[in-house]
Amino acid sequence: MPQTVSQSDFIAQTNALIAQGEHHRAWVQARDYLEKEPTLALYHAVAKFADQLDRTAADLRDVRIALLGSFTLDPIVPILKAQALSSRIVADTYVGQFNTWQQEVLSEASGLRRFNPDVIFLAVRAEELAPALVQRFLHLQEAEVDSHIASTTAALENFLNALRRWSRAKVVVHSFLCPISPALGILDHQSPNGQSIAFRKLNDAWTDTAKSTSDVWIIDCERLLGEIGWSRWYDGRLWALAKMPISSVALERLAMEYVKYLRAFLGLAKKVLALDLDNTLWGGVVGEDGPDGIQLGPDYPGSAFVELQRVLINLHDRGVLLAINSKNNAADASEVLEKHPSMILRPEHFAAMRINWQDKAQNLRELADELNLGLDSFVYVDDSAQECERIRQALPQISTVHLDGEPANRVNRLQRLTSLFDTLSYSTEDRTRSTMYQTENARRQLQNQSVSLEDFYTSLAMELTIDHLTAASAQRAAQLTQRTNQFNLTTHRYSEGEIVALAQSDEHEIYTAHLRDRFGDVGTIALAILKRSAETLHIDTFLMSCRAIGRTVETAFLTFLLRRATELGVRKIVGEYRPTKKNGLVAEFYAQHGFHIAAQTEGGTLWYLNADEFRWSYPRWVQIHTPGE
Amino acid sequence: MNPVDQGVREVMASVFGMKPKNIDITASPSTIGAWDSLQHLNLALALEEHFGIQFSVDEMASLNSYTAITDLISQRLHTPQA
Repeated sequence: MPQTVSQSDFIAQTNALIAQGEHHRAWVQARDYLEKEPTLALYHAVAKFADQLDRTAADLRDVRIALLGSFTLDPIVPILKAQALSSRIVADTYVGQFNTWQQEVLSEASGLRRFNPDVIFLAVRAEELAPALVQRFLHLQEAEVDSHIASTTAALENFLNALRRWSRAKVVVHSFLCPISPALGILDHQSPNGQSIAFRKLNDAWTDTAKSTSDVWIIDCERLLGEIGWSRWYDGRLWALAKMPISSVALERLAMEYVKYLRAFLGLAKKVLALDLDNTLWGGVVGEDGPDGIQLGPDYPGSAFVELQRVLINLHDRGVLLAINSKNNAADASEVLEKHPSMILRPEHFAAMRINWQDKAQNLRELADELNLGLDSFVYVDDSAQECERIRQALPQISTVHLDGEPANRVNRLQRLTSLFDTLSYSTEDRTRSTMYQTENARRQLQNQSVSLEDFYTSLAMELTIDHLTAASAQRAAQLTQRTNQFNLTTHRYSEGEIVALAQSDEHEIYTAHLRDRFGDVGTIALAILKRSAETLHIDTFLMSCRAIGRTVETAFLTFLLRRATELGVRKIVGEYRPTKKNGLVAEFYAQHGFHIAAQTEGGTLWYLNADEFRWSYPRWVQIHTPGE
Repeated sequence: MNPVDQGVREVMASVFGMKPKNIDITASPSTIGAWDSLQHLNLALALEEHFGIQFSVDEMASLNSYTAITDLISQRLHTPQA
């Protein structure tokens, strides 16, 4: 039984903090408490806090979520709201009427349309949508199975087509679960006429249909079920009582999966995993046990640390930046990192390191500076309860994970954490991200040696290639809008589908900028989305990856936009700055480039530059390639 | 206050968004506005989890007052389950 007293104390304390205007502290407390004691009663309490917290003070994002499906799903709402809040998301929810998802999307007067969601979760089951495939399966001929599959996917296709007529909402759809005892029992799996094969075909067709519409994703329910098990997933009592076939445990697991998507949609995915060394990457203390004495190798407990490192190197390959934050003699640690035969991770896998005797919170601040990333994009893992507590106190915006105890169990726990880094795309940029940060270090060293800034820029031998958005660059462009927080004037987030739709519209122009220098390929690092009208060129989005900050690339890119404005013959170019907690860096960007204030808007400031002021030349140290060259 | 009363009050307070001290033995759907059929289901699920017990379908339907809830839970906690 959970400790009820402390729970009510927690609620009272959080209410008091909110009353005092301490919204950020209230949020931190709710997040931490929920992590320790996630009970249904607590989800209800925390869900209610979500509505009271000041979005700006607590740095929270709003999102409108519609939950539609073929069965009762209402009890997921408090769980989802509380879990979303832990990830800085305030969810406003709409739950569709029981099994009316197909009507709601069509009817102009439906609650769904009035609600106008940003995200739709569609929870459907074969029991309701394709009952013939569930109830008397063995009565079906093969052709009938196929026709039931076709009509099921047609329902989704119709839903998505109807939805896209009035909404750009992102849609996340459940996959189907084959009954636990398929029609032919032990024979089923190996029979071409089995129910298992029919469900596999159904899910494949369902996924293909979903993928053919932009911004639709599929939740693999079998994987979630596998985690929990059939007997805990289903609850016949709740089906009898409320037409809800699944248990509160299943609801909790589903909500967790929903939140992974929300984080990715809102650009809240973590980017850096900072790691302690001793008793985290390997067993033992290298300073005491020596490089040969630490636990790392083919036999337990060393084998558990090797497995842990395999999970980490996968994260690295996925584009997550790994960093080291350790209290150690640098020489001892380097000896292991460079030479230990069983290390999976080598120095080149780390984007940055702090191995010293400094306060670890200070080290993390420095790592954030060095990588040009916000502390809230960090996850920190340490085996020491004391260090973790210190980081939680000093830097509550970091997700701190205390990973200790049985080494053999740690891999599982680490694997669960990897969802914090989940994103909706995977590109070549991700595969090589870590290398790019390392060449950035080499650039910094060069900067320290250079006499003047101009010398430094010149010595970089920068080449900037500006191009129209292409099918190949759309994914990266969308990723830039989702991930870029600091050098981002408007922070409009777009999915790949939305970007492509904009590029195809007559009034928009989208440009990407790709940077190379003497150290190699920096990647596609900047994006501009322009909207034309007869008189004006409006800059909807102007952003640059933090790895290109501080080398005048932004000026070169803006100069290109002014030249484009001249070609188009507009009277003026208008840009907007919409302040967020992260983008203070560019508050004066337009002012620094000679723009004048046009107006204050609800979300920020409008700046303009008249056509007779468009007389700029590119910085002479950047070689520019423009589209069509 | 015995642990059953205390637990029921805490859980009801969280589910209905009230202070535990404002929940007394007269509590029922007619005295608590938020106690509709959906919150009834939520309450039953949260009570099951809190006390580590499972209600039958009929029991879930019968939990329609504070005393009905505390009586049933006390009985379930003190009788070994069949």
